[in-house]
Amino acid sequence: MSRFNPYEENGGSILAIAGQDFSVIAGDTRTSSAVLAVNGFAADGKNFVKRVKQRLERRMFPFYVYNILAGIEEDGTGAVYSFDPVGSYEREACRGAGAAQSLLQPFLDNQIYFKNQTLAPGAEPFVPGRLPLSTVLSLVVDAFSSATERHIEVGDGLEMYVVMAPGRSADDLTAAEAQQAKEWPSELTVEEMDSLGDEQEEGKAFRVFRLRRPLKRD
Amino acid sequence: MSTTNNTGFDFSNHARNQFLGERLGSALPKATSTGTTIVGVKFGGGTTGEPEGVCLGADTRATGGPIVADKNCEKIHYIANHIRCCGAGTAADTEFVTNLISSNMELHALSSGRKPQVVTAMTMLKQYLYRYQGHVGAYLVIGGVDETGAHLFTVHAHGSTDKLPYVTMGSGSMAAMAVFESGFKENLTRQEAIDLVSRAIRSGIFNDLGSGSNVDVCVITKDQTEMLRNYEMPNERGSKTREYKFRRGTTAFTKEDIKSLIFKEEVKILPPSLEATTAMDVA
Repeated sequence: MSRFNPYEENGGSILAIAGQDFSVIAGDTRTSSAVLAVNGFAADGKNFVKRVKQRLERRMFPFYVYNILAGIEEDGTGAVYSFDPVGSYEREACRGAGAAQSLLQPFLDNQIYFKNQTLAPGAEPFVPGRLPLSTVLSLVVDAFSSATERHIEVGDGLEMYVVMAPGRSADDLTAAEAQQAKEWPSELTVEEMDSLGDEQEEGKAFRVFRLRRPLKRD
Repeated sequence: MSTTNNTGFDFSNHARNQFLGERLGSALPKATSTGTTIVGVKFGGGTTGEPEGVCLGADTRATGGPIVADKNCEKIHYIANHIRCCGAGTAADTEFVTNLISSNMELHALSSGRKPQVVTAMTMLKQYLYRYQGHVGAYLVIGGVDETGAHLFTVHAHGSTDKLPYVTMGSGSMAAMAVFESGFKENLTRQEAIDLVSRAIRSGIFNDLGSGSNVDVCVITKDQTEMLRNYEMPNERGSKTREYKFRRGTTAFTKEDIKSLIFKEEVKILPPSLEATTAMDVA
């Protein structure tokens, strides 16, 4: 009656949001594998995208993975590329995937793309992808803590990576006053990773930060 | 085509449902199950100097597939004053089967003029569940104290029962049993029993995805039954980082129509008539 099923869902969720000159990629730590959050940086975004696409396509049975790639584009803008299991991709301002995708994506659509929000009369139009880093971080934390409440496969811990464009100040992430602001997520630890790109030349390196925060464990 | 009889279940749609099931696949409706950790342990007696009793425990998470349906539901059900029953499995079945047996126990007590025994509840449950061949998905832990002492049973949906000094059931039963196997001893004190039970439930809450939220405990002795609802709350949600308040007028609308629900009516008060003032004769 039931056919052979080579795939198994292992739970866990990932999410990525692009900013003007940074991008954030996050995932919970409840699972070991299955959902692979490909994250990092590519100097030539387009070329790297092509290589990822090829690697996904060249397989008899597709890897049952949803990849989300976050980094900095050549022009210095934050970029999020999402892939489907067979290699089709799209550049977006945000994307959620994994077990709690159905809980994360509507929240992001509303808060990042301002979907279902009518403008106040005479107000400036909403432009997705322009939120400050502090807002993006609190949205990510709230998205995951909420998904933890209502999805049994989300929880334990949250891990976020922030990639910053060359020359961008990291004060809004590392300065003490930024971390004491009202909107700063509680229990958040920030550590800087080895920077990417051309480290020899001053102001050409892409700074990368890893942020961790506990989630509920039940 | 109908094969309806008066046994309660009707399988005449089985072939149709099977066919639809194959066509729809995952779109079929699923029952809410209380993916659960429930436990029970006997205590007291022996050299403890404390009265015999049973301590029951349950988590408070109800799930529908991978989604948490209720974060603080009650899984310790009332059977009689001195008998309680923890339920795992299909939420509706545990709710209604315990309700039914609770009613029947009350009637039984009234007709016999005695306090009903725990075995009676267990027997009524197992006979009812066996009749339905596992289709009533109730997995139970029954505990209570009657004239013959403290009793603890498990009842499976197919009708089999066990009588043991410490028991666990539900999807978190292995996690909870691990705690019991390492921590149980004969003649625990009342507080030791409560501590062991809540530790077993916590083990289910944190190690089984189907169990979560809070710990409910119920302690039954000869003289009193104590329901310790939310005895521990190790999973309270912290405050959100941002406030999500929307400007008035955020939601778009296509039509506005305001109706007045206030009706004005002129009421004229007439002088009392003669008939109303004179007392009427009611023959």
